[in-house]
Parts: sequence; C-alpha cells; structure tokens
Amino acid sequence: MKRFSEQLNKQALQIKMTALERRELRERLVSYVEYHPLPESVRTAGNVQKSPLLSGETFELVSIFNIGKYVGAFATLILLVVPLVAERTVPGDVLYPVKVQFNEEIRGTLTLSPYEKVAWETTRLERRIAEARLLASEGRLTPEVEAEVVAAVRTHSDAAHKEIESIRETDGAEAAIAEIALASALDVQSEMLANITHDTTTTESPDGAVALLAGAVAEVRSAAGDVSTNEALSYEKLMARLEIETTTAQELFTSIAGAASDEERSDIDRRLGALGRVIAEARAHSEHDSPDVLAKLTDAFSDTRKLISFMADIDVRAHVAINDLVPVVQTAEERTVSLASRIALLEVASVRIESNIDRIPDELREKTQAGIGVVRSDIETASSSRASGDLDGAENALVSADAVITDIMILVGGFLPPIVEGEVVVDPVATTSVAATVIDEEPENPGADEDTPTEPISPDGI
Amino acid sequence: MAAHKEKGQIAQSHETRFLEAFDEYSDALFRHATLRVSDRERAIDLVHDTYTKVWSYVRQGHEIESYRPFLYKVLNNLIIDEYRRIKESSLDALLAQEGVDEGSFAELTVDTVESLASTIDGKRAFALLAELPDEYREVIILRFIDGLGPKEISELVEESENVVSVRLHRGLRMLRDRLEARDKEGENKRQSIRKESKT
Repeated sequence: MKRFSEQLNKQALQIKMTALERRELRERLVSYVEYHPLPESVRTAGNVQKSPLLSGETFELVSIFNIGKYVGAFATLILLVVPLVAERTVPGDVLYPVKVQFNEEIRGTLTLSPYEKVAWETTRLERRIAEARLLASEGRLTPEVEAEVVAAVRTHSDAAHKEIESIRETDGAEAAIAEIALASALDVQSEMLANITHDTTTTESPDGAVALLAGAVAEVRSAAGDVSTNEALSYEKLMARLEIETTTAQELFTSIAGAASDEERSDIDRRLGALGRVIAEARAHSEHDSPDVLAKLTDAFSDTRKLISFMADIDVRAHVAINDLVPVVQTAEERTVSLASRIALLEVASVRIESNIDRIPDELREKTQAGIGVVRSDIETASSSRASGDLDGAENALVSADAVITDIMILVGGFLPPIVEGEVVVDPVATTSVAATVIDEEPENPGADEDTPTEPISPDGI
Repeated sequence: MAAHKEKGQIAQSHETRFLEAFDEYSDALFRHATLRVSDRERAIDLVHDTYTKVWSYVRQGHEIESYRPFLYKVLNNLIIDEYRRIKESSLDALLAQEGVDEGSFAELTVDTVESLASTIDGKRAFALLAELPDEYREVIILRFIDGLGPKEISELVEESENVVSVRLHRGLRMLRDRLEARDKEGENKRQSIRKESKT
C-alpha cells in the first residue's frame, strides 16, 4: 500500500494552485477577515493570548499593506487620469474645479522664481479669458459663469501684482520687467476682446457677454498704468530678458512656420528682424543706460511678448491684426524711400492747391496761402533732414505737413475742381510707402464720406 | 531562563493562526477539492468557502485546537453539498443497490485494504479516480493522498470506521477492475493487430 500511496501522491502533487491563484485567494480571505473582524469578547477571551508582537495590529498592518497596493493603484488613477481629463474642462464642467484648484495650483507651486510665478498667473488669466470666449461662442456663457470669469481675471491679476511687489523688495529692475510682461499680455487680451466686441458678425458679441469681460480686462490693464517709463529698469536686466524672449520667439516662429501662410510668415519674420535690429543698435550705443536706449529696449521687450502671444495663441491670430499689436518697423532704407515718396506727394498736393487758389473764396484764401507756406517749410525741413540722415526729424516735419494739408482740404477741398481720371491723389494720413492711388471715379460727396475706404483716397478727393 | 522563555513565548492571535492554517493547508485542500469535483475554478471557490466558514466559526467564539481535520471536514461538507446539487446519492442507496449488509464489514480490516492497494498501479489508478463514484473517490483521496487515518476520515465523513473501510475497499476494487479491463482491452487490440498483420 505504501507503494500505491506514494505513486498516487506523486501524481496528485502535480495538482496545485498557481502562485497567482494562491495569492489572490489569500487576499480574498484577508479582505474577508478584515470586513468580519473578531468581536472584542472573542479577541480577549479563551486560552489564546494576544502578543504585543503578533497582535491584531500586526495583522492589520499586513492586511493594509496587501490592500494598500489596490489603494495605491486607485490613487494613481485619480492623480494621473483625472487631472489630465480636467485640463480640457471649462467653467460649469464637473472636473473644472480640479483644473483650477488642483492642477493649476500644483503647477504654481512648481514655478521656481517669482518672475515665473508672475508669468504663471498671467497664463492663468489668459486661460480664464479663453474659457469664457469658448463658452460664449457656444452660447453657454451664463451671467453667473461670466461673473466668475471676471472675478478670476481680477484674482489672477492681483496675484501677479502681489508677486511683482514681492520681487520689487529685492530687485526693482526685475519687478519692472515683470510688470511690462503682464501689461503686454493684458494689451493683447484687451485688443482681442475689443475686436470681438465690435465685430457684429460673430456670435460672441450680440449678448454683450464678451464686452463685459473686455471691460474687466481693460480695467485691470489701466490699473497697471504706464509701465514703460519705470526708472528701475536697467540695461543689463532688459537685455538679458530680451535674449530669452527673442530666442523663445524665434523657436516659436520655427515651429509654426510650416503651418502659417506666406503673408503671416513674412509679417512675423519682418517684425522679428526689426526687433533684432533694435537690440543690435542698443548694444552698439555708447550709453547703454540712456533713457532713449532703455525706452527702445522696453518697447522691444513688450513687442516681443506680444509677438509670442500672437504666434502662440490661435484665437489672438484670428481676432487681432499683427500690425495692431506690433506695428511694422521700417528699416532706415525703407524709411528713407517712404519719406521721399511722402515728400513728393505733399509737393503735388501743395501745387494743386496753389494752382487753384483763384477758386477759393477770398475769406479763405489768405488762410489757405498761410497754410501752404507752412507745408512748404515742413517739406523743406523734411528733405534736408532726410538728406542728413535725420529720419526722425524728417518724419516729424512730414507729420506736421500732413496735418496742415488735411486741415486745408477740409476747409477748401469743395472748391477745388473734380479729379480727372488718372490724376494722382494724396492720402495725407497714409503710413505706407505708397500713399497715393489712382481714383477712377469722381467722389459724389467730397469730404462727406468718413468710412474707411477700401482704397486709400484723400478725404475730399483732390 | 525559564521565565525569559515564558516571557519570550509568543501566543498567536486568532488571525495569525487562521492565516497560518491557510499557508499550510490550502494547497492540500485545493488538491483534494480538485480531485473530488474535477473543476479547478470550483475547487478554488470551495477552498475559499471552507476558510470563510472556519473564520465564522472562530468569530462565534469557538476554539479550534487543530485546523487540519476541521478544515477537511468543512471542505468535505461543501463538496457533498456540491454533489447534492448535481445528483442525489447516498451510501444507503448504494448499499441497497449492491445488497451489502453492514454486518459483513467486520472482515474488511485495514490489512484487507492494504493488501488490495498493493496490487494496484497507483500511477495508472490516479487517472481513473474521476471515474469513481464520489463516495469512493472521497475516502481514497482522504486516505492515500491527504494521509488521513481511518478514525479521522470517519469523523470527517460522519460515518463509522467500518463504512469507511467498505468504501475504501470497494473504491480500490473498482480501480483494479477498471485497470484490468483496460489491460484486457489493450491486449485484445494487440492480438487483433497481430492477426491482421499475419493475414
């Protein structure tokens, strides 16, 4: 029988639970025991004594360890998946508080420097605006949600200013730069919201929801004041920050160049080039800390921040013209050519008025002649300044001449003969190098049409 | 020294003893359940139910001096319940069918069972266990695989030791008869093949 038993046993021993089955069975039992604990009367009664080492607490620690890994897995799910899902939420969604009060707060604590904290609060402000715009476009921006967004905008702006003040205690220049960055972001958002509000073709403006938000942003921006003339600014700090920002801008431009149109690439590239020239000129200047150099670097920093916003935010690109954010800066050669063209056109305008002086009523003739005299003087100043390389001087003179010509045309434009087809007319306020165009038809009401024309024409059709 | 030992002696808690009983006997219980119900998943559930029932027993304030026989008893009862769900059968019915009087159990001694077992190839018999009626399979597994003695088995199945001996004997005889039948069948096949090859 011993042999029979051994043989039977040998076969039987091949039947056993796998390690996984055994472990799972054990864990099921541990859970069962935990959910069905011994009554206290049973725990302390009888011959079985509690050991300080092998007590129920030890058993609980062991069981908690076994259950802990399930809790850990669940916690991982909560800590990873839920925040990821929450990132796409907007006000009113269930997980939106996770996005604002957990995700963003955690990211805020991870920012290392006060400057980065200001940047993060600015980003949070921009996020609130983007969320509100998304809801408005879907018709879901209720008054309650809108009020929350407006409050959030003020909260993040206040938080940013608070960080700026804490920076100012130790580094005035850095605080000034942080202020410029915040103001630039607010300028971009304000411009975008203003354009949306005035655009009657979008669905966001009719109920005025975005208008209220635009007002809040404008209010916050105006509270920041003029940040460009802060005396604490220093050349070294500005230049260092500019190097970082322009590098960011270049990298961003490289990343979007493939998706941007030729015109967009050209516009952005032109402005990046202009910023580079400003920085190079500032470096070459003999007095780095002169007010003029600091002012140019400050403008360059602000323009760089706006350009980054323009490139990084598709909503900004959709509602704001790049020239409204960062006006084009002509090169010296471009300016010289532009100035020459404007001088020539002002000459033509002056000649036209002088040759038709007999048509002007006596009571207006003297005033007209005096005005033409001023224009001629300004033209001469502009020409000489341009020739000597003083482009700013030439610009200033031409601005004066343009203003006088405009006043003359308003005064006597109706007395001048109608424009003959093919005759060149002048747009005194044009800022492009080509300020004139050919008018094909006589204007019906010279001087009465104040709408922006599709083609630049003089106000009264000289 | 004795006092130190006494102080050092660790009394085990109910939970610890219970888990130790799982660690020590769960494999054997699983093996027994698998051989009895021929279903791995069901066997795991039966072992789980066995331990939960034992824990409930402990929670009621009962003391378990030795976990092994108690666990086997609970498991056996659960397996019996399992079979009752499948089909109804009882030893009395089986006995009535085969016309065996319990009075004749006296000659079925341990030596008789041992003698019979020694004539059987255990390796080949293992494969035929599933073909046995559960009453016979139960006692064979308890005796020859789980290693329980006749007295423990009788307490477990709540039958007299004589009935246990009868079941053991009949189960072993059935195994031997089926092995002999297979041997004969195999021999007949070989002979027919030889005949065919000659022709």
